[in-house]
Amino acid sequence: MIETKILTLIEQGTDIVFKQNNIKGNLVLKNAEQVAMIKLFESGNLTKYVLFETSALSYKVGSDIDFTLTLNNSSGHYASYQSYIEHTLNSNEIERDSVVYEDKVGAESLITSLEVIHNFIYCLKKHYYYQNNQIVIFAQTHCEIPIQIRATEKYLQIAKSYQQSEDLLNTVKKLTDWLNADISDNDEVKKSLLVHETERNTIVAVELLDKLSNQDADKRIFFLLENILSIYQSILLNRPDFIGE
Amino acid sequence: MTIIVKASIIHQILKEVRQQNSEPPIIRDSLHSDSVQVVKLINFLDEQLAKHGLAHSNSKSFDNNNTLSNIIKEHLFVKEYLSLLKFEFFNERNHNFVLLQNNNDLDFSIQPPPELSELPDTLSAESFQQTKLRRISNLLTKALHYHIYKEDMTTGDHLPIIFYNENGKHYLYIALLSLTDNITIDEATGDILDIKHIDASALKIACRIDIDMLMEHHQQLEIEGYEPKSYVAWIQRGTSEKIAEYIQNFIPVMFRLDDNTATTKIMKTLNAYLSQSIFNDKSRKEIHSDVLTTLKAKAKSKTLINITEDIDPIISTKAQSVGLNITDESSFKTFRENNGYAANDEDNSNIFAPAKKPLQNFEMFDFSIGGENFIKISGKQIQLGDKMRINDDDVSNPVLEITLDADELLTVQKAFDKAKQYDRNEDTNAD
Repeated sequence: MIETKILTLIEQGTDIVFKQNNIKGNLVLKNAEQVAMIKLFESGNLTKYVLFETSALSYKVGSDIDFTLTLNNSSGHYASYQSYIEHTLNSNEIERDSVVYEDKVGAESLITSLEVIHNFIYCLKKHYYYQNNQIVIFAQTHCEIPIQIRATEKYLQIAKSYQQSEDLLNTVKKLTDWLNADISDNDEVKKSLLVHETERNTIVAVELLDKLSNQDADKRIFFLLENILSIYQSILLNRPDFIGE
Repeated sequence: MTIIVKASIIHQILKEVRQQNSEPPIIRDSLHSDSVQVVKLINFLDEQLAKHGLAHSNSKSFDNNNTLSNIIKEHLFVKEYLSLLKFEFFNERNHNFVLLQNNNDLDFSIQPPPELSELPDTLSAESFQQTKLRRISNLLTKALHYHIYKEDMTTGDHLPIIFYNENGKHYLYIALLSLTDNITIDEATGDILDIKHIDASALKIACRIDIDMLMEHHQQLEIEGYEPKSYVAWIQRGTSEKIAEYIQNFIPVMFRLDDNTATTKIMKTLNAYLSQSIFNDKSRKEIHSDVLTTLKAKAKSKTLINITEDIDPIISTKAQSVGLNITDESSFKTFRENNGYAANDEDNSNIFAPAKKPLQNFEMFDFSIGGENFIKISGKQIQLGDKMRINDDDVSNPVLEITLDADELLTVQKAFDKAKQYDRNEDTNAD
């Protein structure tokens, strides 16, 4: 497994830095297995996932080598949060089973929260109008929500708060699920409870316009994610299918 | 330098490419009596070693059947019967054990079995030690015969086996010589007729083994932390056929000459050499590209590359064409020897079969936009699509996008600012 191999290298290495799609570090070669591992990385058999580079020209046990792993993001493997967030926000499809190495070595994993956030943004992109990294919401008026692809730190901060609050996490999930609900479901009872997609989109749009229009454009997406509890409550009041929770 | 030939003989292994049914090797009856020609052959091999010998290795095991290490151990090193012998002395050659006076050291190793065809006359003309070495040469020939027949594409050849002593050290040369045009070996007796006519290209492969070091390795096997020296020196010539594997199995070598690793290593070493060389950027790129093309072609045709014969000339030709003088000191060969291709380095083989996969790590892209010298973009092919991508959502307005992080933005911004500043100055002047 490529993941195990990269994690082993990270664990055994020192001065590990995750930056963009690179993992840089040093490794003191302690035994023949490590030399074999380095050779495997260089063999070209892992190129689908990762490019391994070192300035060392030969590998002697005891020597200290530098290395840079460059992850191929289309493989679903990411070096850093930055790389993962930028790539997923830019992507036009839902990413599943992504591996973020910076996350793997961190104290707590933020991937679940980041995935929920990403699914929500992807859902908004899909249901509204999306161009030039902005979600545009139309109702009586319109409102642009730039998704701030480069604001990795802010997304991470929000992901951390989601990680600590199941309420936040579940609310975003529920809202996403409701917007994505499949009307072609065969269950008649369920079907009767579901609101038509256009209607659902309008209900959410009106609410978002109301809450976001008076925010600075570049802060809108974060305001939405941070205040999702109250925004969701307002949406619920307008949901014809809301039968109380 | 004094060379004392201990025993020299030229056996022959017969095999054509893809030959299935095994033909027994031709085992010669007697050792060469004339050591003058043998010394010339040693000198010839030494010359080739200096020119083409870069790979070195040591033995992986002394216990595998049909290997040189095992045969040498059994018949030159092992002294386990010492205690059984007590003070009995044997002087019959055909007895299982012989006692030889060798450097004041008693030799109780096992006498190799004789060939059925062994003649009494041969024995009477030989010393005990010569008999033993000749019989060892028979066993070595049979072992190599076994490995040569295990591979399809191999061919048999004349097989000089020379035990000799140089400046007090014990060596063994084994070579495969294909002599088709020049009659330098007597086909009937295996005698060397004239060494002058041996063409360097007749030498397919040879190895020189430092017997003393091989013995040290065997004695120290159990000692923790002991690192054997690289006592097997290879001469590898020509690239027409796959020769490395069977001879590696015959020793058997500790570190296989790994084609994947060797491929990566030569490209990395080349790039490191070029970046510190006197070549300009354009020549560097061209050499990189030419070497890569050569390696790719070899990988595709599954043929071997010989660094000194196939890669070094690319560099010297380029140097000549751009009027640069590359001295021995600043040559790629010297750089290699100082950077991972020295005698004790791993994967230092001068000859290997390039692997295709690792080469993709070194593929570059290079293109210009808006005319030859407007904007030049080059980089590693493997990174295309990640950092830089084509946005052709709107086919009437395709865009090449390069994402920038904060540091990169600063660098690019600087270039733009500089250009703007210049514009502004011009505007001021115009006013």
